[in-house]
Amino acid sequence: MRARRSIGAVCVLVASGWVAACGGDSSPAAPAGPAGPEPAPVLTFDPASVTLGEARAQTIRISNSGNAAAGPVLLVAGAVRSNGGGPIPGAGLSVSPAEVATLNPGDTRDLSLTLALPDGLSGGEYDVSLEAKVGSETLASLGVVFSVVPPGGPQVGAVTISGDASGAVQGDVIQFAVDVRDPDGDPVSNPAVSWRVIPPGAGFVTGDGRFVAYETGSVQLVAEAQGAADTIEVAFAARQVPTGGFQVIGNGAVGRRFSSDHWEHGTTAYTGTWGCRNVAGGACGDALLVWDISVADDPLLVDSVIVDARVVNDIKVSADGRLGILTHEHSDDMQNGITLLDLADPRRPQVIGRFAAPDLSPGVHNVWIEGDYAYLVVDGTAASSGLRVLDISDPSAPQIVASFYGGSSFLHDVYVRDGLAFLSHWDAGLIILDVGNGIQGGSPTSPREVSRIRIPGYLVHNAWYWPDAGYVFLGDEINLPGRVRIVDVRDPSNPVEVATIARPGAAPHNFWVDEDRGIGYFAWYEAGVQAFDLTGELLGSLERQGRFIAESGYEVGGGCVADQQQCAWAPQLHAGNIYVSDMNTGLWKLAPQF
Amino acid sequence: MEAGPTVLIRRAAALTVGVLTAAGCSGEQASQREEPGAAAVYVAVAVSDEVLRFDPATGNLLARIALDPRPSESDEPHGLAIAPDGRHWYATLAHGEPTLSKFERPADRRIGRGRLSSAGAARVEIDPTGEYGFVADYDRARPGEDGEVLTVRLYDLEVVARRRACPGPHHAVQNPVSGLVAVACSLGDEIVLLSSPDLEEVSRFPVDVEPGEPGSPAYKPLNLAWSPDGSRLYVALHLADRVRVFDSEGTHVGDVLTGRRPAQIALSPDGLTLVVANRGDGTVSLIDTELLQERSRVALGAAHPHGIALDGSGTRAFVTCEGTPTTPGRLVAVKLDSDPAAVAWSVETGSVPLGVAWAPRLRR
Repeated sequence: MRARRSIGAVCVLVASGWVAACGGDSSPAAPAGPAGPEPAPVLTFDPASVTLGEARAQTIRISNSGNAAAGPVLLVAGAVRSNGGGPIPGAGLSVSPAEVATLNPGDTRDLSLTLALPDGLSGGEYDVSLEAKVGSETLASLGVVFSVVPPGGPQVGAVTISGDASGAVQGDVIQFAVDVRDPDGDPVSNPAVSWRVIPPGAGFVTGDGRFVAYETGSVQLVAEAQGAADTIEVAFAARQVPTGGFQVIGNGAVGRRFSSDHWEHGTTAYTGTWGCRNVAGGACGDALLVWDISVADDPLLVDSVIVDARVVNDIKVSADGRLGILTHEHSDDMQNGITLLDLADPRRPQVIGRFAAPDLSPGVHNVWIEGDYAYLVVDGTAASSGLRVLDISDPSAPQIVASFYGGSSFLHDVYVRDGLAFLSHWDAGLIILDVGNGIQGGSPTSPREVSRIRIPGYLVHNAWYWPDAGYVFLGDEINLPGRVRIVDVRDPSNPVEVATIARPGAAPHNFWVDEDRGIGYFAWYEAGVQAFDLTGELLGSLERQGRFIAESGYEVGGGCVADQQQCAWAPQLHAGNIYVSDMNTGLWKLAPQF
Repeated sequence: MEAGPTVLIRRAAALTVGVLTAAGCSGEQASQREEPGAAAVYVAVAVSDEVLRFDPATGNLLARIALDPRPSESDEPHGLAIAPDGRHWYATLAHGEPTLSKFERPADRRIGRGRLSSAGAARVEIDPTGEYGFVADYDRARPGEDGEVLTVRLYDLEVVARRRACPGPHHAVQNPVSGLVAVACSLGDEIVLLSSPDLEEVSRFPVDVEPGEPGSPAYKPLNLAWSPDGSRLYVALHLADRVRVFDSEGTHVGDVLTGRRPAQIALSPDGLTLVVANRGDGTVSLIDTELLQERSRVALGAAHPHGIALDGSGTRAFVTCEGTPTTPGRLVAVKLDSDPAAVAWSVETGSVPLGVAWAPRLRR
């Protein structure tokens, strides 16, 4: 049926468009209509807006009433917001399908909308937007309004808020309690309390009364239950964060190749190379560059290792600095794999050997070294790809000892710490494996899944685990505005999204956290590196809490956007400095002046 | 060591060309300047995640079309195919989430991208009606296990059938007469014949009486071409430096020696000349299919020939050469109607060009 329709559609378009021909004349294949505007798709949602009330799911329709096909049509949900307030961490609108491959003229597709809401969301009105995007253009948008009605309960006579808000500052999470009494003055057990903030955008409050202020000055917090309410007013002072900027110390310039990830150890830095650069004398990513970073200013190139690859996407160095592993993609022999390096002389890496296997032939994108094991990310979207754990106790004879694939999408990155492996698994979300932590009896040779968290529409690209704080910081390098997601993993079996950092016009790439000082360094492709205060409990939209400290696009030599719109790949805090690999300009050494 | 997954729309192009030839047209009539809807050569470049459009007459680069939404990932555009009516072209993305994208000519506007939910996506071929595309997944990570072939309905890019066919399926091409889809099982040393579009297995046969073990091929059949009358199947045996010829039932007809490590092959619209990209020695072989003899061999001056497409008249071949990590890839045009056949032009493409397809001129 659809194929038949396609022929019709094509004929219509052909009549006003193009047909295959090879003659020199211009005789039309079909009568040409009057010249008109260029064919264009016209996408609409039906209905044009959705009021869910207390429902949490609905089917809608998207149609193309224009005269040109469009696709892929991405259905992108915005943040769920309280009425007039900010995003609600952990709340999301799922759309199925999330992508329509192509929408031909006259075609429609049904879309299922499903809301996922955190427990204990306060009563009130909420909204979320849905956009139909083709490329960077939004061709249709839809507003979804829903309400949360607290469950009924016994009559309430009085509500009283209590909590210590003395010395409260913007960005601190304050736990308020509420005492609810019935008309007789007796306590009400498990009361359904709704919280709201006045003015609405001044902060964020959870259903259990945890509040974080976005603004300074006076904020009112209202708790309501069955018609009774209490209001308190709290004054919030500005958050005091370290002040100062980044001083640019130097740049190890790389111009013939694009740069990729990097690692610093001791007084040596290693940078990978990526893709093929179309400049005079340009070359492919077949090299690992070795830098002396003991010098006072510009990192000094002292050596390189050339391998069979066109992308050396990642380099990692063991904790003792004696072993390095670089990854291969697009190798000429199509075997890819990894190369292991003896770093006994860190400035003169010696190749121990290249390890290739059919498992690794699609390409190895990222690597992590933890003890006697290397965790490799193999390109691909099948069980034949994903995570490979390598026993590297004898680096001259590595052995694959375990594998894991998340069941859908693809693994992009891996980070291992305290016996937990954090798998950035794109559409499938963040997956936590026990590889020796003990929580699930896993080991490097027998990884066991602990949990996973999928955030609708969020493509998990990278993760940083901060065990003392119990947070994982996630990045999505595709979607704009860029958003770092912060997941509470204090209970690794129940990861919960609690906070975000948003930045218009730039996508986050890799991160590093100075855990001693509670400062996060975030690389944003189009914007360099940014420092944020991460002290204390994290909740809500961190960029609205006065936590921003400083950022740098390097401020030297044109910085970030020399010949592409993406650049800052990864920061690493090392010996008090921040090193940033930049795709376009090489290795940067920055000194935080805060 | 081995030719990677490849591209070409030999049969679909041949069908179009057949129509054009009947009308007395010549693919050589491509204009010297770009005009909307002019004939074009499209090249998929794996490392930069682009498709490039070239002027087939001059080799001038006319457009760069980005395929991948992930800016710093290399997702490997791989296969290219032109719809029989010339109005659309299709490209596979092999890594990340394997997809098939649909573009509209002459603007090269993307109008669709279907997720394939497969391990990979190598070549794509289109049936003569333009209704279906056949994609081979070519998952090298599990060499001994069966990989998938998919049928994609091109109207809406829905996968309507999939079949675990054999180890390392690399190329799936429909017989223009019988409608059966032949699958080159590169890591299994066999050919599987499937029904279309539902991909039910009809038969299978080894490419030699002593095939290698699954996962360890001795011959590595990578790419295929059906003769216009559907009576012969040409199979490039990558590890045997030859093209082997079978009849439509799988009976061995003959062999033709080629250059080293033959990769993609393309048949002229009249079926008389088979052109072979020899990845191992930087040449193309021109094979006389009536004599089953190599007629000539042309040095391309570039490393690792991979993809090949012929223009509508069959007088010019376009060959992608992957290059090496230290030398850029190239697109090389070969004049097939000169004596001897010779390189017409050669241009850089960036690294690892794989698929190539020739698109006819459009007219309003």
